[in-house]
Amino acid sequence: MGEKPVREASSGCGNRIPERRFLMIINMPANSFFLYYIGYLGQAILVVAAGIYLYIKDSKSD
Amino acid sequence: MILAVVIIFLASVFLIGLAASRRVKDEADFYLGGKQFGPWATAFKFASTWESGAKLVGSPAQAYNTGLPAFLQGLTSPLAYFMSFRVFGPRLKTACDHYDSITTPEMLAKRYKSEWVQTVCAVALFIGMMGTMLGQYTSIGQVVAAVLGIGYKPALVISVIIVGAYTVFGGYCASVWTDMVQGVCMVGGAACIFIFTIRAVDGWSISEMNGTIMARFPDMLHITGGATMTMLTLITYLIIPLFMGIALPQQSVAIFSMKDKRVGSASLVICTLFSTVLIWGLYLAAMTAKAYDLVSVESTDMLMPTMAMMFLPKFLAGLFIAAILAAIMSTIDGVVLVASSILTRDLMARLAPETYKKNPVQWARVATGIVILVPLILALNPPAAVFWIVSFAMALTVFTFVFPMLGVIWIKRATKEAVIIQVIVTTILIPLWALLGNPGGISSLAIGLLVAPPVFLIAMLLTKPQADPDTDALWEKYAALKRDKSSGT
Repeated sequence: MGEKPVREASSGCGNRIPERRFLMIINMPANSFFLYYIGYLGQAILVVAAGIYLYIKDSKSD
Repeated sequence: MILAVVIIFLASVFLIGLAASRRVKDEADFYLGGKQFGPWATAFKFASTWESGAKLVGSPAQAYNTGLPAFLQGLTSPLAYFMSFRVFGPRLKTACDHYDSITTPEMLAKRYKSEWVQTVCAVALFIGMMGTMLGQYTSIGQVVAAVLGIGYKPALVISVIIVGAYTVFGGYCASVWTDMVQGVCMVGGAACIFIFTIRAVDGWSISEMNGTIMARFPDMLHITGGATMTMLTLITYLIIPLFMGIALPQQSVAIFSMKDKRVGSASLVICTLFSTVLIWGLYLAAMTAKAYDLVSVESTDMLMPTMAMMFLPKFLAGLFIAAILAAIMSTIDGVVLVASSILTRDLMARLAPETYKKNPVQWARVATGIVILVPLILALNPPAAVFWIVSFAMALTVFTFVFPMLGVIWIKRATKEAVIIQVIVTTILIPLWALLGNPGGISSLAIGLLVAPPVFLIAMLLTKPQADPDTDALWEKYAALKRDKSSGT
């Protein structure tokens, strides 16, 4: 996803490391950013909002 | 100072347990605390039990070693809390009250009208609980030994005596009260370790940290850690937590003991905030340490205690060490009570009912003591079999109970034959799979996920449910819940 092999690059220690280009967001691959950061934080915001809404709704019905 | 803080913490939880023992009047008080807990107690009980010592020690170590994939184990936690408290929770609580049950096998026996269900479920659950306890005992022994600078065996004995004492005397109430203290230590400790670690790096930001990691260890930011994790394992880690509220009896008990459904709504908010601070604080601290070579440890399990002692003021370092102990103890006390309730309610109450009824609280305490001591003896000199049991304990517990419990709250057509067959299959297959070394790289969790659903569903479709007015009455209560929800009452 957004990944294309470009050319080999050297680490400077004599090892050749294949350099891969990713679509980057805050210096990390976009797919990881969306899964881990947006995935978790978005989930947490929605769940907290749902919990507060349901608590208020349940309180009004009592 | 660190040692003093840890000792004060251990003494505090012990005294809390003794105070809780005064509230225990009957077995319902001992095992469910009288079912009167509000949102903070419920949330801290639920989250502290779920976020075990693995989250404070093992998972940050994994983040240090492999990067982002360590997040996977907690990635669906917010949704899992929502599922537990609002999707499964209301019906689970209704069913617990309807059947007036204390243990999960007891509830299943009443739902499916079968003592065989109670027996097979109790056996499977007991094996699973013992395995979980062995794993937690080993962890707490190692951490306390490293922190106090004593041997593993004395460290293990000291830790188990403390958690055992407050659980034997105070039961579920003690476990809830101590879990509240332990939860505060866990969240406070995680926040502190994160703040002080990033302060050790000039100009820290997530973007800067990622840039450094990409240059030095690019696989750590790869979605599966550079193919160190299979997609099946990734999917398993994402799905399993969603069912923790019904599939793990040590979690379900927090739902059974809620005062009412409003508690569930508040609890899921508190649990989500709890886990967010814990997960993000610890994992980002660990990845920062790796990116900037802040620490050097022989074993990455000592990463968090070492970082605490390096970066935190002594008092806060002591608090963090206490938080690690707290996390493990909060898991142990929850599991101990579930295992103890099996011995009393699922076995003794059926085999020797007259003896049991004479003093159920006393027998509950005796059973709790037995459940605490037996794994201790095994953990002192763990035979090879212990590691085998620990490896499949979680999978066995989850996949033994998830479908039978769905039959309590959702699947009215579920039959006792389906439950018995599925429980027997998973109780044999999952340990056997672990014994064979997880063939094909498929974990015991994954094999449970692949096998339990079709076995249950096929057995259910091939057998006929019996007409049962009690089950009809329960489903009418569920319908009433749905009507109340849609009318806003």
